[in-house]
Amino acid sequence: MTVKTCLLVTDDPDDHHAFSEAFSEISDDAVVLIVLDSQKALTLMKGRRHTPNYVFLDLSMHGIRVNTFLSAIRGSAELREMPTVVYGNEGDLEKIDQRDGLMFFSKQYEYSELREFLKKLFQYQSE
Amino acid sequence: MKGETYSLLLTAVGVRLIQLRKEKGYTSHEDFAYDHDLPRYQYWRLEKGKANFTIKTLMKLLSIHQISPEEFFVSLKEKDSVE
Repeated sequence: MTVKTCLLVTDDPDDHHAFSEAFSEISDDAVVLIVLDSQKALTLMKGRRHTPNYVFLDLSMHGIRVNTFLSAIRGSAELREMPTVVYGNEGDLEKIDQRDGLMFFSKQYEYSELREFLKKLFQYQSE
Repeated sequence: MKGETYSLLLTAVGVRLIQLRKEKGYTSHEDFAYDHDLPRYQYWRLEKGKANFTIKTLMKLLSIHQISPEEFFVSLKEKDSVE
């Protein structure tokens, strides 16, 4: 069994619960790592101790430096191929200088929408 | 707030949520969670008084039951008085 790791970067406890539960429902081999801020997430990934299979970044987090985070990912040969999903409110997308290659998901999700999105993401990546 | 008081509050909230769920005709927390698009395990934890719920989560539940936060918390107090 190959474990798929999803790095969830958010300080929102509702997202912690929803994402964790949704992942466990759609995949037996998915593990969710939760990091409360983007800087620590970068440190985790750049330390090469772990490269996740997916990254989910909450754009509405307090103090988030989203462009710094995305630049760091794009600047790394190991990380740039990693599917990155940003999620937040519609206006949050404006914070991002370069949106190419990013997937976006609305933070105003219903639980079933989240589950469906994650299911499609997993299926797409498996093909 | 002392740990024990906090724990009692969460338990009281959970008990009230169970009552509200049953008043809506649901015998199962799973069916209730499924029909209202809630994460089942997270909802179960709320009913068991094991979850430190957010205001957003509580408001979603109260919206389902069409009860205001004031009515909800007053009903907790009233239940406490009766007991």
